[in-house]
Amino acid sequence: MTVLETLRSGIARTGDRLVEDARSRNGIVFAVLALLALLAPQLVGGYTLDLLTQLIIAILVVTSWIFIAGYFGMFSFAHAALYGIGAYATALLAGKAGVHPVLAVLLGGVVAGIFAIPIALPVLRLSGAYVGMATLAFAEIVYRLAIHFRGLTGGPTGYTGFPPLLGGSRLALYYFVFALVVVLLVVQYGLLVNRFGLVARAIREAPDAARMLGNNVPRYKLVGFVVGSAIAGVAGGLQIYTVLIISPPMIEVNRMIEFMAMGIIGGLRTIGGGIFGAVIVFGLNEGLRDLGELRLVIWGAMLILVTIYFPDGLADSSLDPRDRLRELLNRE
Amino acid sequence: MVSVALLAQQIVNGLLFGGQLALIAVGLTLIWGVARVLNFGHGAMFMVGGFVGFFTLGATGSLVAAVIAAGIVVFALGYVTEVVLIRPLRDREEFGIPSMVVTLGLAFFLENAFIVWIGTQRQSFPRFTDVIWNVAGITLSAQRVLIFVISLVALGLLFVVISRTELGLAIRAVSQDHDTALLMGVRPNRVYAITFGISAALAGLAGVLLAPLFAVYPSVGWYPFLLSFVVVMVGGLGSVRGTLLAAMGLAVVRSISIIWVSSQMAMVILFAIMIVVLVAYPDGIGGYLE
Amino acid sequence: MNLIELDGVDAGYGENQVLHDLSATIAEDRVNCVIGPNGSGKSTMMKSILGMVDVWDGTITIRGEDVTNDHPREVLERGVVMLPQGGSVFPDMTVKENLRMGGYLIDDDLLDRQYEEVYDMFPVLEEKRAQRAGDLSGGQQMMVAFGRAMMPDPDILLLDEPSAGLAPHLVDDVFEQIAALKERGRDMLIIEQNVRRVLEIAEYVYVLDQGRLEYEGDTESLRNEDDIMEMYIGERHG
Repeated sequence: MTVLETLRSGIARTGDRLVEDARSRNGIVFAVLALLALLAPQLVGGYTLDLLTQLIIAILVVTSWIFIAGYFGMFSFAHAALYGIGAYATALLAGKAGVHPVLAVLLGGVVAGIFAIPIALPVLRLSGAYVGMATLAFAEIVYRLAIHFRGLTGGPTGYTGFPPLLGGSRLALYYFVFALVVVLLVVQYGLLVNRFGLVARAIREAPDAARMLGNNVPRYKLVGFVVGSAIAGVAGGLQIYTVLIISPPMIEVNRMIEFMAMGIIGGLRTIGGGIFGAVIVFGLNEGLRDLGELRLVIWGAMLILVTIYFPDGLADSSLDPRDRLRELLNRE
Repeated sequence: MVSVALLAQQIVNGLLFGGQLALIAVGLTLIWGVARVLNFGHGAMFMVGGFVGFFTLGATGSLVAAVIAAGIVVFALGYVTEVVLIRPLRDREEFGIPSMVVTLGLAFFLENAFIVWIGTQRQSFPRFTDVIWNVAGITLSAQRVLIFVISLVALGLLFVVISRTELGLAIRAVSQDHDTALLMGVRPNRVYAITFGISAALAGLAGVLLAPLFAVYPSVGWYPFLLSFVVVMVGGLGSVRGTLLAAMGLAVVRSISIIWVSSQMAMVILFAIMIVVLVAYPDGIGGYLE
Repeated sequence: MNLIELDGVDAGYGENQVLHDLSATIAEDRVNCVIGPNGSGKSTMMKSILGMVDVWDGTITIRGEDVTNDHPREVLERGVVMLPQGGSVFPDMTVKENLRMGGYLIDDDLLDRQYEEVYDMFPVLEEKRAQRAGDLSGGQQMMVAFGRAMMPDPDILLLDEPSAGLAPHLVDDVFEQIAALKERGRDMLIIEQNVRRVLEIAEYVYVLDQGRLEYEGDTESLRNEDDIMEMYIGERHG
């Protein structure tokens, strides 16, 4: 089969699966959400629109983390750091090298993908909790270097000297973010419903079997890690145009925990889980902003409860209380 | 050019700090070795220990009471954490990651609960003593030496418990072969909970002992957690001997590198060492020694 | 008196039922064995007695006392001890610590007497008592496992496929140990794949198939049951 034919059949399959999934319970919910998101600028503006922009970006970060952690089973703590590398790269390319902002966002993704390689290589040799440990160390290194190289990054206070995207129009930014995120979600979805995703799941569940079936397991994992990280890098670039600053708190471990909580609460097994989790945690954070840290206490507790009682996340579990009860009783 | 005196001073400081670090790290390695849990809540246990000590000191004026109360309360916290959060996950096919996630959730929960309750300000903790010794041109604060000695005593006690008592025998049996331990009449669930309690209590004890240096505030545990995290990775998760060696070695590396670089960059060096060791010797230097 | 009784036991793992309405009576003063094809539920039967697998229905009693789904500890305290497959010594403990684990539930004064008893049976263990068990030869590790199981002076010893996975010369060792224990009047319940060898020792046989009891009786009567012999043991009488 030629590359073109493979691509064509892959796209056809993606289309078929998309139509199929759109008819499911979650599919309908997401279709309605997407429609609402398209209409949102007619209904809200100003700060609320900025928040929606950030939510859509968070969805991209979480789904790309699920791409790595949920599908391949590489439980990475480096995702927020790579998102931050994309953000810094975008800001510096646009601000110091004069690259066009839209191009800078895409290049931010490329840079994040490149920086993902030095940590992806050790990760290929590790498994389970050890992946978490190595990537956490990498994330801490990135965070500290971002503070240390103040000449480049602005140090602890951050960097703001980059031009706005699309002339600084909030509305234009919103639609740009929406469009780019939808495209990247479909790309991820497409990869995952095709052979690539099948192999990814095989690697997660039975790495030895995946190897014996003739798959180049390290190469798949490397590509998965780099692609997911590059997408996070693009999200980082989008984020700085929304908040107009890049600073170390954007990439510290608490951000990682937040993305992780979104993924786990929503469910690690599907892209839809990431969307669901991002909406819940982001909504909770913003909706309860008046409660201060109490909202962090709440979703910290949610993270624990969901891990124990809904191992597949909220999006992919039946929320009927009778089903839950039955499941709990069976476990005893 | 760095003077020999400064170098000697930093090596001594590093060794003293290494003893304290070992006290925190050994709990982390213990609970991994016995129950295969990477406890991201270990720093939160350290923090809770500091607060319990702080409040007990305020109420009683006694440092000894503060230390004892911290040990007991944090032991109970660790015990309950194991029973409520970890035990329900134990039958899962994949245990390592969910157990990591719930302890991370717990750390986040506790840290923010303390912020809501008490606020983010640092509570300063009185020094045990202000005496400074001068030995051959090296300055020694009696405070640090005392903490070092207490840490060594606590570690020695732990060693005796593990190697000489019936509880220690049960802990070792469960860590080596859960099912066979069950057949000998051991109750592994109880052993897990007690081990988690002991591990937490060590962190809590460190939380009080180091409170005069670190102060007491809700996010105080994160930095010692990261340090001890590096120590146990380098030492080999589950290897007590490797952990002790790594604690000393890395603390010395840290205090020597601080002569030239910022403490942030010193951490970068430690994390880089950790990644290299993790890839080259996944079992750490402890595994390499065996 | 009947030592162990299973009455209508259903047991399994998760959704998967292994034992179906299994009833069996294990009397005192004899060496019993359980045989049957792979997956017939032999190990599950043993684990259900020990409380290591969920019993869904039916009861298990030891000397008339109900121990269904009790913690292994309760079963152990009633004098029923199991020697796990392959011995499973604690590799990072010394030989003496392994024996100590065997005597985990017994009093200290009894402990000293039992060490003597075990050292008497396996003199080499006394010699190597301070060595790491994982460093011993395979044969010596089997002795540690047997010695450890003898520490609580059990009323009946349950052996889970003692010869499985062993090198041929060790298989001989193991059956010698079992014969020696029989000589000393020890009650046993043995699961074995090596049917020929175990029937040389066992006095009473249970045949399990698909979680059901197909036959029970003493070894001599079994030899006259042509159908059973042919089906499960692969031998024709005469």
